[in-house]
Amino acid sequence: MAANGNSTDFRDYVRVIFARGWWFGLVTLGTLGLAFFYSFYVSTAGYTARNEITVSDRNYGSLPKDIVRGSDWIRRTTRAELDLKRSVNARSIITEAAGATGKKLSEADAASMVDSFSDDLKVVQSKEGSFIKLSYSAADRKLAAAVLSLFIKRMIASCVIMQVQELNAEVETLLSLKERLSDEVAAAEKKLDEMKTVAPELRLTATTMALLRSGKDIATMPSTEQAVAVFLELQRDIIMLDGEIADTGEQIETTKREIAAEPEVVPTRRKVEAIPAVAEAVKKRDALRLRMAQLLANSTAEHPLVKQTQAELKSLDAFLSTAATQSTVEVVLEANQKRGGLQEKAAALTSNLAGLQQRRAKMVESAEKWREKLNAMPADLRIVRDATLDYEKKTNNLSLVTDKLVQAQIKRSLEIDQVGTYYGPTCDPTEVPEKSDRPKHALHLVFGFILGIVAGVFVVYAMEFTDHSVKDQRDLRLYTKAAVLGVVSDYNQLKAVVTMTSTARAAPAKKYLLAAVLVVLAALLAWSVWEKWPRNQPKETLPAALSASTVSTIEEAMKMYSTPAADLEKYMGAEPAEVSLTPAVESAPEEQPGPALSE
Amino acid sequence: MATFDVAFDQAVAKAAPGVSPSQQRMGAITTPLEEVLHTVEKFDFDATRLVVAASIVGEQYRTLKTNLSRFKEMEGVGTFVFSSSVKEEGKTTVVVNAARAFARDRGVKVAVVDCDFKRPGISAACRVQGKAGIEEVLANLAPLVDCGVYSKRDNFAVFTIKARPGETTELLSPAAVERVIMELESLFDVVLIDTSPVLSTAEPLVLGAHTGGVVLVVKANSTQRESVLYAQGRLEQAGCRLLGLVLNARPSYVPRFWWLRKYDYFQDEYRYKAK
Repeated sequence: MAANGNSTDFRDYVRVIFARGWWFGLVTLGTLGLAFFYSFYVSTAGYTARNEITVSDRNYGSLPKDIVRGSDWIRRTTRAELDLKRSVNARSIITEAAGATGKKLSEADAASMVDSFSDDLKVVQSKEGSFIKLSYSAADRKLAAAVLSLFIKRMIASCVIMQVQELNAEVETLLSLKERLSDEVAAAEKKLDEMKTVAPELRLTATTMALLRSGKDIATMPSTEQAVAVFLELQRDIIMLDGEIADTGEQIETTKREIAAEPEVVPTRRKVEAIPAVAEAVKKRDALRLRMAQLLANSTAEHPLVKQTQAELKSLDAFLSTAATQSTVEVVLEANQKRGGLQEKAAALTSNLAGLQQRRAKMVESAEKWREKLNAMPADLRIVRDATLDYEKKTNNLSLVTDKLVQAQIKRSLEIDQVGTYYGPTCDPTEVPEKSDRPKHALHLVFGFILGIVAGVFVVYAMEFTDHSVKDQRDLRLYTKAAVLGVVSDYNQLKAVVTMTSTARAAPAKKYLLAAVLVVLAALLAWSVWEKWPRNQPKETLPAALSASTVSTIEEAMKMYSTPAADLEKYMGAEPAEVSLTPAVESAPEEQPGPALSE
Repeated sequence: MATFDVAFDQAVAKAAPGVSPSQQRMGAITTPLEEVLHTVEKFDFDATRLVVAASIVGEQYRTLKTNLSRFKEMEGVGTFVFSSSVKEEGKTTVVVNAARAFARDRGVKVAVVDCDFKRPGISAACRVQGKAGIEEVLANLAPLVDCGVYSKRDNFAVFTIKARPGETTELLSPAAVERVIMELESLFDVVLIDTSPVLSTAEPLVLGAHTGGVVLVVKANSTQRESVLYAQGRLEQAGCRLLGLVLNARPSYVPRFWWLRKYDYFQDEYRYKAK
């Protein structure tokens, strides 16, 4: 009977579970029950309202790109978010939302909502700042939507206010700068005027400067101006001459280097042999000499062939000696011709340089003369020139700043006029969520069931491994090595099976009753799950006051923060009207002569 | 049972008419037990211990009987001491049901002797009581035949204890045990002795040393493996022969509805069928 029971079979692993089936079932169903309890009674449901702010750049229009920047919106919204998530602001938003939707919040509920406000309200910004996603979770769906709507409205409002503040700050800075520069220009002008009154000749000198700058004919000028012109001419010529001298010196150096690179040619043997006719003759002579040696080894010197060869050799030697002298002379002459040319060029350049230097010395002498003349002239010429240049520079700066100021004012007026409509952040009305964020019951139950099976198997196997009792005849044989005479089944179990079966056959009514009870229980369970299962709520809308999430004017934004009227005036500013577009464009300055020169 | 030579059986039947071949083989005496022992019509068995013969468990007892009678045939061992390592492993149930399995062969004379003086169970299981107790027989105060009760219908005799637990001391002297065993073996073909646990008492050791050997009853899912090993060592130390083990009350692990349909014949064949 107990044959071949030594190896472990797959059925043995199953047996372990069946042997403690009650424990297994208890643990599995217990875990499933816990998951059920958690899913339907512990985890709470809520609603999440979602909305998105778009900061679109497609409406830039003709405005330059640097006027509206997405990064500005990232900065502003981040600041606004941090500010609005503070508990004071959170409380005011929640209270207002509850009031507007007609929900009555208890003090404890409001406090808990305020506490978890920064966690419940999530703000995600895109990298480019083109959109911002917002969501808010709360137990009541209408309240969630209202809170989110209010939050967005306030966020945009504070961003707008921030924007206006920044624009105003820029304009103010430029205005103060302009004021300062205007003062400086006035001071420079005053100085010029003073000089004019003090020295009567200054009029002349100023005119001279203007003439010099205009490049008119020197012949028409008075003597002083002539002196200046000639001096300047001389200076210019000297500078040009200096350049020429430097060029010539460089050329000389180059030529010297070339001469050094070109070596003096000396006749050598190798050079002669390089001529192809000579090389051929040499080769032929060597062959003849070899042949000669062979002939002499076999015959006497009187042999006609020997004599003929000797004659050929003699003529070849004569050719070679004449060829050597002639070609050597040719090669050497050719090589040294280039060198001679270079040396001639160097000599010519050197003489040229000497002439130039002489000329320069003369010019310098004459310039010195003119300088002495000029030095004798009044020193006011230089002072006036400096003052004039200073005045021109300051005028230029002022015009630049004025330009910038005009641009800033245009930008401010544009942005303030078209807040929320032209290029600012836009947002659709916040909708009341229809579906609740119910816990995922199916997932919980399936997960609980799987976890239960795992836990059941774990428990059952743990019990099996800690139980050292005899399980079957294989255990006996393995441990005692004695024969197993008989195996007796559990008779009570057998009797129970027989009894159960016979009873069930005898009384089918009981079976049906049991089945009916089970069906009723299952129906109750299914009904409770059906009732608790999440489903969509009917559509609902927010009151009109809350439905729009955007701010269209600055007045609206300011009202939301209840700023005093004085501040509002300041932010709105009468200043844009002060510097209007037209005169600003006209006054865009070019290089204008100072007021002193215009007369 | 092994089949013997048919010619031998016929010769025996001719020489001694009325005696079955199996009786001849088991070497039983021909004196009918009704004449020797106090006889009852039938035992009133305790229903909790009784196993229906025509059932799986009844078949398993018959298998046990077959394995035991193999000792009788091969080695002439007819006296089996049933013991266990710890208490309450089902010794008495196994003994009574094994005796019933033996007694199904009407020609075999079977005796069940209760030697568990601490917790006697045979008289309660069969609901009979002899004129004298086995302790008196061992103390040589009464003859053996006064102790036994024979049931005609069940076809086996029972030797019970009369004394209450704790009253008896030092009954099992080797000489007395040897005398009583010899007397029993002369009367019966098969003697099944129900004793106390090996690990807690000395009776099975003494009895085992003077009989053919000891059969250890082990209860499945209850007895620790170490207990069985200790009991085995104890028997070896006392010079007893361990004939074998009987695994008792082994549950089935397949679900009931399945078990009834598929494995209601020999459920163990399912597990240990040859591969």
